[in-house]
Amino acid sequence: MRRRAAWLGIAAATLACASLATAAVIQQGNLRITVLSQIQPYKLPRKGTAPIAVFVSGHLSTPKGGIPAQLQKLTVKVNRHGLLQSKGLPVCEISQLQPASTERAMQNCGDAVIGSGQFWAHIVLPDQGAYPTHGRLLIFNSRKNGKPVLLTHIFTSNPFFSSFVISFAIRKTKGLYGTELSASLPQALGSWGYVDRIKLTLKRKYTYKGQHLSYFNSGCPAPQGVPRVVFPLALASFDFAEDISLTAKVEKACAVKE
Amino acid sequence: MADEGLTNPTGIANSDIRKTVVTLPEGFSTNPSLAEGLEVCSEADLARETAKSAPGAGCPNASKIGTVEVETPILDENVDGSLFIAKPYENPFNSLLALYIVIKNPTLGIVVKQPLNVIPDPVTGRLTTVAENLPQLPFSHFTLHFREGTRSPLASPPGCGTYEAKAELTPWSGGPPVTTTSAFQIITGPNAGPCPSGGLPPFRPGLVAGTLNNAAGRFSPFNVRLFRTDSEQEFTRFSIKLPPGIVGILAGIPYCSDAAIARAQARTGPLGGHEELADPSCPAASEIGHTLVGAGVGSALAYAPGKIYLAGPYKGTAFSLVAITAGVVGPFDVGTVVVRQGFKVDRETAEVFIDATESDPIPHIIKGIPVHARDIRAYVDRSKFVFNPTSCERTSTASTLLGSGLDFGSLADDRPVTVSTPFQAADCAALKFEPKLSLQLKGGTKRGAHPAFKATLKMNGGPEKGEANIARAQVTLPRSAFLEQAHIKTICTRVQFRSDQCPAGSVYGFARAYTPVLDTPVEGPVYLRSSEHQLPDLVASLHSDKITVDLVGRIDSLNGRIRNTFEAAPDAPVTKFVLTMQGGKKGLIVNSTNLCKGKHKAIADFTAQNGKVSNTRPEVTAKCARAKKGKAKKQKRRAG
Repeated sequence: MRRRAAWLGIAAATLACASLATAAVIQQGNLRITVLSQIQPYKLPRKGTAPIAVFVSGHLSTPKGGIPAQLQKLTVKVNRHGLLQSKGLPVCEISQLQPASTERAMQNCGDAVIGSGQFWAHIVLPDQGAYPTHGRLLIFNSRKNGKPVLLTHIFTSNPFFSSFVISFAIRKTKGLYGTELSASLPQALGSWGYVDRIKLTLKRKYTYKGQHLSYFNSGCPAPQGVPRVVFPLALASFDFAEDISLTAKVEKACAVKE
Repeated sequence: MADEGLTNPTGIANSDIRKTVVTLPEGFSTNPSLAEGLEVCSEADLARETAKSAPGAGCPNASKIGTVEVETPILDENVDGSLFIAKPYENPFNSLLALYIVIKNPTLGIVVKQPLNVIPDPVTGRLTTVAENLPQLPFSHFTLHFREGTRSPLASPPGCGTYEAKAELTPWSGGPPVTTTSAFQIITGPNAGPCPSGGLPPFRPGLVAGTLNNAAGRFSPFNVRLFRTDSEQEFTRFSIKLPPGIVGILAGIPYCSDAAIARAQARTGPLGGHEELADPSCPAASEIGHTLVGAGVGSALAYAPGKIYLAGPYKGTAFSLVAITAGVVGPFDVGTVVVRQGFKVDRETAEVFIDATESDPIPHIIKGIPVHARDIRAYVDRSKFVFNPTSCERTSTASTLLGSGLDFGSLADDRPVTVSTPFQAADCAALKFEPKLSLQLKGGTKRGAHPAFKATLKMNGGPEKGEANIARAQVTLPRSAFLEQAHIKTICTRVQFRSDQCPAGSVYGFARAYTPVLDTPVEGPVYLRSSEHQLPDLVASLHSDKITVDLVGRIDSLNGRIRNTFEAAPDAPVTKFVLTMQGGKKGLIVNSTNLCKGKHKAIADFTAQNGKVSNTRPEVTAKCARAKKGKAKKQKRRAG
């Protein structure tokens, strides 16, 4: 009986989360991108930030069929009310990740992990039928030239043992979006990789010098007297081969935590 | 010739005939079968023919090919005679074909000797016989009867229909020649069979081929015989594909040079064939076998022996065979006949074949004499040359023969017919199978490095060595070897590969195979070539001056490990095969761990042509620096 109640609880929580998730769909020609995102918790402080977990799912599709154009560059701008906090978090070097299986990557850099997920892609070679590949994905805190970067480690055992690392540069920007993450994909994925879908959960809480910290933090930018607000969480720009560029704005709702 | 003037005092006599030109219908030709066992009548023999000479005292009896009967109004009885073959090139016309008519009556003391010049059309073989300065003797009937049967001097056309002979008779009186024709019908096919439907003879040739001793992996002569019956279309060309695994040891055999072949081709004079017999154009070292070609119509054929030599590139093929036949049959010498066949080796299966398009046609007519080739035999019997496959699978020798159609001179109406004859080697189980594989990674040993990869396979391959050849080779790399997908950049498309235009960037390695079959190893680049599989194929394009073989490897995975499979290795002996894949920026392998730590084993599964298997787990070795002795001792002391 207790077990059944637990299952019902999980189902109810899942439904609640789903209701909070928002989707952005953009299309140009035969290329459609669906971005599904969610942050937790729903209630966030009006002033300052609180630890959050971010779930992101990106799906590239072609309504008329075929394989999507090749994604070459991905830029994500995060609302200035969001904060990436890596102070005191262990750092992982790219040499510790490449090449490595997921297990080996966790062995080497488990204390620097800040997120995980899965990816799906097609490998398309000239005069050759495309074949799908699918693998696990880990995101690690790292630094390059003294500046923070995110290392996305991708490992697939299907069909072959293969791993590669995508490095997201992080920089501060001015305006509505205070942080920008950008990565160039072909260098890591090879010239023939066509990403179809990525699913990510970004969440890392850690303790540093007795302080409880989180890598991902956010506040709720609701004006005084307004208990809830919908705000632009992120702006994702996708640059594809053949000069195709698409931008998706991801909006989220939050409530003020009193 | 009714000559009333000789029997009726009031009649006017006809002029006697001074010259006759008789042209047989097209399709009637000389029969090469005639030559077998034939003798000829020389001018000296002819001189010995007298009114009272016994048969054979002048022209040999074996040179007689027909009879003559003359009815003349000035004698009460007919006068008989014989038709003899004149000695080629030593007759009044200095021609290949000539006849002597000898008419005699010992009782009356009459002897008439008349030479006839036989002129065959060089293209059609149509015969025209010219007799000049005929004796001024009156006759009412002159009957010339050529011998019939298996050694008939004349061959009739294969098709039924009405045929017309023409005679042009020139009188001694000086008037213009009189032309007369005579039509007759052929109403049955060869051997009294039915007339060919639509005038086109059928074409159902036969093929017999195989090695004399079919023990697997053993030397044995290889013989091929192509044949047809009289009632069928003539051969024009042929292709032959040998059974897979039938291979010849080309190593150490020099080519018969093009100059030597040209010398043979130039031997077309009256004694050209004899010159070739006395002094062969090609060196004996190039000889790999001999031929026997049966020509003619009827049940008995005239056979001409020849020799087969190994020769160089021909019509785009890397090497060729040349059959040189001294055209000496009986008393006739039609010169030296040269037929060259381009030899090809299938790039993927290494099957050996002769393709009609890269080969000379089978001669149809030589000096106006239609050959009527019916039985072509090739005996490739050089000692320790051809050897059997090491697979005992049932295979075949296949040949596509082209029939002449209605018009021998036109290739457009040639009719291809494919025939095959089964072949199967025996006693394969007696062959052992012990391949030895070593695998090395060269270059960076640390994690993340892209080492070069070297695989060396050693075998005791070759004829009489008692080892089966490899049919399938599969090697799975250790878990430490990840695929470096980012290094798969340029790939050779199948279209580019077919036209030998793979970009340089699609070369990822090099392979070399040593075989006792050739003087030099076959070697060449290893490409990534697009395929129908998930990953491109790994194709080793191996070349030598004689052959090109593509060894196609399929890349896939075994539980994520990189695996390469050469699914269909040709049944050819190899003593050593070395495959080297590049490292560094073109390295397809990336170390996922330090190679100097622990053992890294591959999986090697080989299947022999005889079905035997070899499954091993060879260690992939790397060049790891040894710990310095002094340093090791120090560490030992500290530990102690």
